[in-house]
Amino acid sequence: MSAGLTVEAVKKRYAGTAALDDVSVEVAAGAYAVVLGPSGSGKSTLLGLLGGFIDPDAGRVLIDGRDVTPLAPVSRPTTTVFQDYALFPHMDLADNVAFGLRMRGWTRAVRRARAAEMLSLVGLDGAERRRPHALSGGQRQRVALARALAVEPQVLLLDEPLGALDLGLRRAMQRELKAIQQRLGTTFVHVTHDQEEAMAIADTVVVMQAGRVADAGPPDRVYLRPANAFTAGFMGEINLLPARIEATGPDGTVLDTPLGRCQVLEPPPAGPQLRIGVRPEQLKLAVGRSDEEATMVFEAAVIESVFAGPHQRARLQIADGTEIVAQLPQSFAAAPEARVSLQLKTSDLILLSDSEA
Amino acid sequence: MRVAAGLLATVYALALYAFIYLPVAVLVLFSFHDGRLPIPPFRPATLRWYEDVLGDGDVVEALLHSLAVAALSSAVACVLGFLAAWGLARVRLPGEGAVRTLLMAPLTVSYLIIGLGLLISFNLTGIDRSLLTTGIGHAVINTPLCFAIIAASMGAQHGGLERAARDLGASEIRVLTLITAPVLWPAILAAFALSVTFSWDEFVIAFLLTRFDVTLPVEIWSMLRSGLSPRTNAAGSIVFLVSVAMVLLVELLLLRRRA
Amino acid sequence: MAVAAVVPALLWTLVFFAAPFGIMAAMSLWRRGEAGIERVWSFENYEAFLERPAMVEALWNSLEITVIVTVVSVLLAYPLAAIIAFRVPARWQRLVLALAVLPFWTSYVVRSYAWTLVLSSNGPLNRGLEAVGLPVLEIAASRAATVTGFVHFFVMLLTLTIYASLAQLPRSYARAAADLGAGPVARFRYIILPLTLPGVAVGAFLTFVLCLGDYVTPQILGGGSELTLPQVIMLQIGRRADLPMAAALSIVLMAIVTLVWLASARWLRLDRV
Repeated sequence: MSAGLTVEAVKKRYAGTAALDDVSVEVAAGAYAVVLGPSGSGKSTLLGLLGGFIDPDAGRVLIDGRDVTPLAPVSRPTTTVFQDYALFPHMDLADNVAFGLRMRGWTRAVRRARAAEMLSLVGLDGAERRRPHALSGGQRQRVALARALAVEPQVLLLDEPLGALDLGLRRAMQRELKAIQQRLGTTFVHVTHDQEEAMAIADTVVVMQAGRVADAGPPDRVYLRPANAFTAGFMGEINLLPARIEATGPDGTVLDTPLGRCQVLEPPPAGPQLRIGVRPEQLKLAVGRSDEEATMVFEAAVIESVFAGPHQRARLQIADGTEIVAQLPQSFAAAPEARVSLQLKTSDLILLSDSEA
Repeated sequence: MRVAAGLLATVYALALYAFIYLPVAVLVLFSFHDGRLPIPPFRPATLRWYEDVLGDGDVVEALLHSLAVAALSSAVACVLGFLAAWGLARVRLPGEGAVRTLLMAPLTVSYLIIGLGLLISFNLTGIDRSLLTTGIGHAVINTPLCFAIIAASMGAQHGGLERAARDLGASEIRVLTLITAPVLWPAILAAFALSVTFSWDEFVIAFLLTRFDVTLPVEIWSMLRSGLSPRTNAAGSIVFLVSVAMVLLVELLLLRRRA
Repeated sequence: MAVAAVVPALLWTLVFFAAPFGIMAAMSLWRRGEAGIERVWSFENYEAFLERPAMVEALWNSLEITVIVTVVSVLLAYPLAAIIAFRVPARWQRLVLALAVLPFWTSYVVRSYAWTLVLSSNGPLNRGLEAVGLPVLEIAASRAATVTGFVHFFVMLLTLTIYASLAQLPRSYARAAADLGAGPVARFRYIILPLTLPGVAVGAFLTFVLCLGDYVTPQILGGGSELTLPQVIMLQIGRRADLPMAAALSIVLMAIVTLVWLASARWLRLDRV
């Protein structure tokens, strides 16, 4: 059972500052949506709004086409996995998981069976009689998930569910969350500030910034073709360089950039300040002279290069004096001030036009 | 629904506040009553009962006794409590649990029984009842209080400060006087003030253990025999205001620390 | 050095608390003779206590009053503590709470005297009731007056302790319960009440102990309509100068407190997480 989710032009202000400023979001039924943003971007407010814990000042929330804006949490087809899990300390795991069923008047026997089934789903077979305080962080997280799923919500809301776990456990839980979501087909809305987590599990990423939606779409699109400089920077490290339109023709646009001249097919977006974005991993060492037109080749001086595990992280200075960052092969070795020749595909270039840093 | 619940909650809270403040309000209001009996209608407003009470040698004497007993017994309780809290925080003792339980035990026993125990013991040993014996009784009930308050604010980080001081060559006495006590002074002062409040208000122990020189609550007790009088209101209001001032001081000290 | 620091407090408590208590226990087994206290060991004070209906009745009065006061105070204080914890904005809570318990810091004597003023037959309360056309209350110098005085004090004490256990309850528990379909009543019954019960029990126990052992409130407010155990103890000390009997009655009082403590401690442990 799952349902699509629509947030329409929602506004929420706290003490004069806008926590949500005209936010609209669309999540398809059965999708795994991740709301991503730095702290204070309004992502948790958005989740509270979906769960019914926060009333919007304006706008609507629709679940499965039905307006649920005036409904209390109790009456919504949503449940929440809370950031601190909020497991009831005076109940054992079975009672915790079956709490929602008890509130719905299910009989004890049915509740027992369902609790066992849900605990098994999250990999805690036979733990019914254990108490929350006897569990590790990861196990608590699983119980919170089982409890929220036990009542078969149409939409499951997860508020930074993995925030308290260490890195290894985090990665494992990400895979597990995704697997459970795919198995149940329930719509998941997951809030996090970790963009790697978002890309690892999301069908749809909603990037929030200062109470607004900065970008929304599939993770690869948001990473490779971000709508603006904020999204580009938040999704991963990026070099931003100014660009100028030199000529526009039927075969595309010719841009003048500090890396040289290039021709791009897509028309550059209109805006106050045209820039190109280049991800460090898209910069390669140039092998001889490239004849391909779709490749830009340029020279740079090494400032320093540091071994970073999978690659060398090099800081370089290009012709106009700007500093850029590139991920070069592990074997790369160059003394400072050595000159290297780099190349990149023009199709990788990200064109941005907003004035944000 | 929500509005109705909010209204109900407000009405309930206000009703309870009224209940809580009713006697204090009546007490203070009728201390300014211009009449012989503190009953309505209220006839404003005179300070003569305060003049009367503060002009009464017995009352003033009792007030001074109360202050002296409170200050001295609280000082004793604070020193004992501070030393015990410090000692128990710094070393592991065998039977530490039993020591703590014994130190806290007076808090769990009714003042009447503590007072009676002391009365009987002083009787048997031929010690006369006096302000001194009353002070001893008050120090007994306030030592656990001071111990608890000071122990609660004596964290592990203070142990680190003391080690650093010792490492730099300070003797134990100097560590205690130059490091531990100054760092803990808000807690110590709060414990002292609270202890003064308790001693200042305390009646039963003082009643049992004083004889000729009495404390203010005992003096007020004997004023009660003459029935209702605005004079008693004035004396009670003075007791109340001093207590409130001490409590506000404690709040300020402990709040400042937390902030 | 650090070990030595514990010694003064320990000695003080031993000499002026533990030893007097032992002496009192011994005294309860002696008797008052013609010429003073006779150190003859017997249980006759305890037997006398059981044989004198007036004393057993005093104990009974004390227990009745204490139970009524404890129950009424908890029932009045819990909603107030909950309103402060859940409905007052967080930064005002401390102030509102401090205001609610300010009169707590008045001595028993002054507080009880103030209540005799309020409750006297032509006092402010009855004048107020008359003014709005309600019947007057003739409860001065009665058990009702004693209970009123006690409840006034213990409502404040319990508001403090219950607020403390409500305030440390994470907000997300109630939110999670609401999210899973629990209405206000179910949230209270299944989540908030069970989790705050240990705090309530501690406050109720404190109320029980202090109320049972108080002499001043029933003496001033009860008006001699009935006697409580502490009043009977004081009578032995004062008018009758029978210290052994007073000691025996005090031991009875202590024994009851200890029994209640044992019973509630067991009950508490059962309920603990």
